[in-house]
Amino acid sequence: MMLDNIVWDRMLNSVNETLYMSFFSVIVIFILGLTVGLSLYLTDEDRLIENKGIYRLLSITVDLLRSIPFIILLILLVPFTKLIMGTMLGKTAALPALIIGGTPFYARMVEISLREVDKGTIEASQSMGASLIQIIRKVLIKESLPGIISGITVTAISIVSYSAMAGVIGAGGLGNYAYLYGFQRNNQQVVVVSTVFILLIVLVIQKVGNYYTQKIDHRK
Amino acid sequence: MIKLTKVNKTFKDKTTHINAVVNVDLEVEKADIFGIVGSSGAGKSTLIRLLNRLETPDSGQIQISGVNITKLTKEELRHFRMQTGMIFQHFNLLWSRTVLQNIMLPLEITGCSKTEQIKRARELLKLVDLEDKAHVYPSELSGGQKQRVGIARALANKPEVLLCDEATSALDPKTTDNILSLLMKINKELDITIVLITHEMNVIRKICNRVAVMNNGEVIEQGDVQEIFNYPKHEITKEFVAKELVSETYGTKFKKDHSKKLIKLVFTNDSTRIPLLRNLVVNYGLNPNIIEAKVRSVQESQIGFLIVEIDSSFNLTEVRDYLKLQNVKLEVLNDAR
Ligand SMILES: Nc1ncnc2c1ncn2[C@@H]1O[C@H](COP(=O)(O)OP(=O)(O)OP(=O)(O)O)[C@@H](O)[C@H]1O
Ligand SMILES: [Mg+2]
Repeated sequence: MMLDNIVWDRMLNSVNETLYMSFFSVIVIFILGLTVGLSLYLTDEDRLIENKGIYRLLSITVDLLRSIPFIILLILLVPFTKLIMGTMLGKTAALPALIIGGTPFYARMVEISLREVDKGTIEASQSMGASLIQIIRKVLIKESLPGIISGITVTAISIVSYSAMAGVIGAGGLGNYAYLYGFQRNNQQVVVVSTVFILLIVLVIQKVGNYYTQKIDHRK
Repeated sequence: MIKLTKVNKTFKDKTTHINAVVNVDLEVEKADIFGIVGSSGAGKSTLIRLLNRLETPDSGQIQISGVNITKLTKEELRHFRMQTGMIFQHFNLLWSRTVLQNIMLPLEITGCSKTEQIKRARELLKLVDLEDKAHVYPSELSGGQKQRVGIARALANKPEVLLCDEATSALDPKTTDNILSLLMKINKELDITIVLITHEMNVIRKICNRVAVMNNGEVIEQGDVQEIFNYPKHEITKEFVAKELVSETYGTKFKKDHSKKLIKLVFTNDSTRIPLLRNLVVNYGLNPNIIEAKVRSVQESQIGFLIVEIDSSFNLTEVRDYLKLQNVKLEVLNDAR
């Protein structure tokens, strides 16, 4: 048999762990990134709650975090992760790094999509007496939804590959499996099959993301 | 209904001061269709945006239905805006919503129940004649249809005032006429006061009863549309009227004849029903040669002008008196001598 060197139980368990890590962190990144992206947009010059101080603070933090290479971020966060997760191993260990690495990335994408919302529609809703919350919910988010969704798709794909990287320093998932059983024990089959699974996951995320982005986009 | 007293608005930059609205006094009566005309940068948009406090004045008073809107709290302002509709040059519809949902937006904002929202939105679709487009997205509509949706949306909360910022400037002439008729219908049937801004005098002529002319942030002339069209005082106003009404080229096109002079008769409303020219010929012995004439409707009545050539020796004194009685303005254009 061609794939006789693979322990399928372990393999599928790793797939599960990768899915868990990615899914969980993407959910958190989505919420945090949306909040930070929205705050960036709203406090920027000439926007609804212009505030130079807050904008600069957020902007600098986001750019700083974004410029740290992920592998360095992982190492930097080891003490922090041990403190809040109680462990450096397994599927939960990578979550802090994934979330902290992914949020600034996504927040900027959210900000960019929000900036594309036509100022006229915001003005129109103001002329109807909309409150800030109503403008955010009914206009800003809705009108930038294609960008918000395609942004989270791109982010999710990066997170899958980041999670594999996290595997190398001990967190679970396909990366860890490919590294320990494939690389260190020189089992090429494990590496190839792990790669195929990663590719499949990425493909599914891309397809689903594209489907929804197109479905809700009525701009033409 | 709407009364502005000494309103000023300046846009300050680090380097520049732009006086967008300067010392404006304005009065709009209930059920008026009040036009504000002016060239680009005159301050029209700023002025109309002051009326629903999208801009805040630096000084002056803005009274709407007896309330000084410069003094409203945040909540009061939101409430006031719910009762003031606005439509825009570029329609500003939400592409993420269908036509029906776009019209429901202001109702969602005021907090109507869902069934109420749908019921009201359907009524409005009927009013603007777009019932078949309820579930279509704005990107599939023509410009005129988009503006109809904009109008329906602006009327959703039954406003007393409708503000129109260049509502027809992005539309072709035929569509413009359609939208203007719709605005007129709304004004009549729903008794809504309309304030509209435009840089085209023919929009004013077609639907407004009152007009203000703006230049460099100031209102340089305001009054009855017929009055302004017939007797524009300010140079800028004359320009606007002339562009729209008369091709002021007769003087140059016309070969000079030293035994003749050109006179212009401007008549309004009532005088157009009299056989004016016949009376002048029969009773006063005038011997006119018609050079140019135009009559058109201004807000459901007729105004026009007539340029005739007469003998330069003809004494106009008696004619003047007669014309004054008939409410016709006489002007000697070029005394050829
Ligand atoms: N938000 C703003 N900040 C700074 N300057 C502004 C702002 N809005 C308008 N202005 C300036 O105020 C002046 C009047 O502008 P406004 O838009 O009211 O003119 P308008 O009569 O509507 O012109 P148009 O016919 O081109 O729309 C212009 O010089 C414009 O550049
Ligand atoms: Mg303007």
